[in-house]
Amino acid sequence: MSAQRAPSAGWILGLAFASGAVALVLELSAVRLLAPWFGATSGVWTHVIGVILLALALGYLLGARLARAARPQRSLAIVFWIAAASTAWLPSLAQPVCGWFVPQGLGLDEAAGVLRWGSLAASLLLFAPPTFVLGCVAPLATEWLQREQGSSAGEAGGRILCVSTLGSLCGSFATTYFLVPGLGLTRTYLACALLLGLLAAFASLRARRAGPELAALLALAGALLGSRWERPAPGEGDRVLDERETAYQSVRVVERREQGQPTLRFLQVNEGFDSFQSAWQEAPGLLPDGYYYNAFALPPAWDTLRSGPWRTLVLGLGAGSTWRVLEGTLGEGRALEGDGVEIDPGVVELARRYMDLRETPGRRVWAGLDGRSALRSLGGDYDQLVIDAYANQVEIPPQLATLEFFEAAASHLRRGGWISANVGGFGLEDPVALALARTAARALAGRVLLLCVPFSRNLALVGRVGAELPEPGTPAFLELRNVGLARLANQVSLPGTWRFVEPGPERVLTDDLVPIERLQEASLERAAMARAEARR
Amino acid sequence: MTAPVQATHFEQAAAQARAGDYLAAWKLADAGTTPLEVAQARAFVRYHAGDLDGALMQAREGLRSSPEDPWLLSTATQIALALHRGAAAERTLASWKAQAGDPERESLERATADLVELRRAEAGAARGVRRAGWISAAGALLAACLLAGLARRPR
Repeated sequence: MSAQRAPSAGWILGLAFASGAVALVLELSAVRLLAPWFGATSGVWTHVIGVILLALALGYLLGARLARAARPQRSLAIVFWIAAASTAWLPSLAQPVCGWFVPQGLGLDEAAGVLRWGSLAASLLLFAPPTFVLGCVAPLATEWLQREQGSSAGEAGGRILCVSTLGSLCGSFATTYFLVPGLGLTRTYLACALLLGLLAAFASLRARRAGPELAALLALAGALLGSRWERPAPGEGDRVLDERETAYQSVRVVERREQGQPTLRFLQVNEGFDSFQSAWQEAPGLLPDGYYYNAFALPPAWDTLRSGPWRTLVLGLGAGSTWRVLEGTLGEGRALEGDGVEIDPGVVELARRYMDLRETPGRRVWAGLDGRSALRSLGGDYDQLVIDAYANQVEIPPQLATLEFFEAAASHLRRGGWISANVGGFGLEDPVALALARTAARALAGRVLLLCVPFSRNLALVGRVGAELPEPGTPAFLELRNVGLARLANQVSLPGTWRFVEPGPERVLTDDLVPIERLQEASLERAAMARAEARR
Repeated sequence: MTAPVQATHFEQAAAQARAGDYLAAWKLADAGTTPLEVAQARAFVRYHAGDLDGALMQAREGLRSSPEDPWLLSTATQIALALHRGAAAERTLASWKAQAGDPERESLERATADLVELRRAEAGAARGVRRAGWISAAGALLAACLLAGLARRPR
């Protein structure tokens, strides 16, 4: 038996609880730390979880080996010191490590390989060390508890596993609802490091050691003083107006002023690559060329028979770009009404402050709601339903891509009402765009139209309930009162920039089977092949 | 983008495209008197209508029959650069350099600088993938060694 004072079981269980909690904080916040470089796709989540599980597994083995020593509490102290220091350094290591894999200014279509392997490698370098050492805690604490209490291995192990798992439970809730949105990433990691450091000091006192701990203490102190997470810099000439961590993502508002050009503001999420979630300019109306929101203004311009207010339901309202474009193009005396649904309340808050998002008596914003569940709660009879919901920058949320979803969407539209969707894709043969178009066509029991948005890699999908779509190039399509919209209609009427997709026997996306990730991967591979083809 | 030397149909199509009537411009482009003129006008119209992929395709099609046309070469180079297609831009830029006259020197220099920048970004991306691959492989190897070493029962 050791010469030190025997701690109560509560202390040992407390160490296990804290290690379980910190392990989950690291796991859940890891994707947030990597997202500015790699996005937060399912692939990135898989890499992070895989790396952490592997590191924990190896840590259990090392802990088991260390537990054979005469005084496991010594090893436990060292383990806590290393975990504290490696956690504290995470915010400041993220930028150099991730930036080492992802050069600045990389376009999305060039990034497939970096996304796939870069997030895995960055997870290995950043998150494997702290979780590896945290994995040692459970076997070491079990051994210590068993020896101090004289209990059986099974009893000690069971108690340790129980509190460690409860710690993980607390860590998971705390990360999502308190730590990341409340403290931000840097302070979350530093708080974890501080907690681990305090527990390390406690374990060191129990083990009466000072040699290696002193070095670890210095490393931890250095990290606590100097560690700070740096997001990737905004583009040249862009100015960050505000940035914050929301419950869903890193969000920032960036302003771009160029001589002779209207001032634009962008709401960027996770700041990865060249994408943005919303765009704003001072006057409502059409945005400059290349912004897909302009295509959402075509249906009310085509629908000349409809009078009175134009009622829209926007799923994925973001900062309200769709509403501002519609507001400025509907024409004199025609009001814009309806509902806008945005899953992230943090986005709505920033939009109200910087991007003129306003509610009016006929127009309501629903923040914190998912598009699919909003469809269940909201009434029907809209003139237009706009789908502009993207998860993790590039992924269409699977629940908003299925036959059941499009059927529900259609049931909220009046006869002759319109569905418009923004689809990121590479051309009219893009696998994601085609799968969505076929699914929408089946749900609407009529053909849908895919339009290539000029100067952009986005496609606009247009469908209609119980009425024919105007055909590109015909007077019904081209002759619009708004000059900018007439020009846009003309642009997207050129041969090769549009196609109809008929409802057919092909497999469509359903709630039961929606392989959206696989389709997106096929889309990126197709784009890479097109690039290779162009070389020849 | 400037007009090519021989220009009748092209100029009419270009004027329509600049006025925002791309469909009328397209019809005029199709009425060109030679395959070269058709290709030039089509590329111009598509470019101005925002269909950059289509414009590049038209320019490349034109270059198949007129591989030394400096206007098509410069257009193909500039669109390939805008689309971040470094290899395609490099190839047309080399031919363009050989054909370009003095007035095009400035555009050539700008395109050359853009290409250098794009190639640097592409090389950076390739380096990033290689690094990530090596780190992932090394991590997997280290994990396997640790697993094998630690899982063995100590004597």
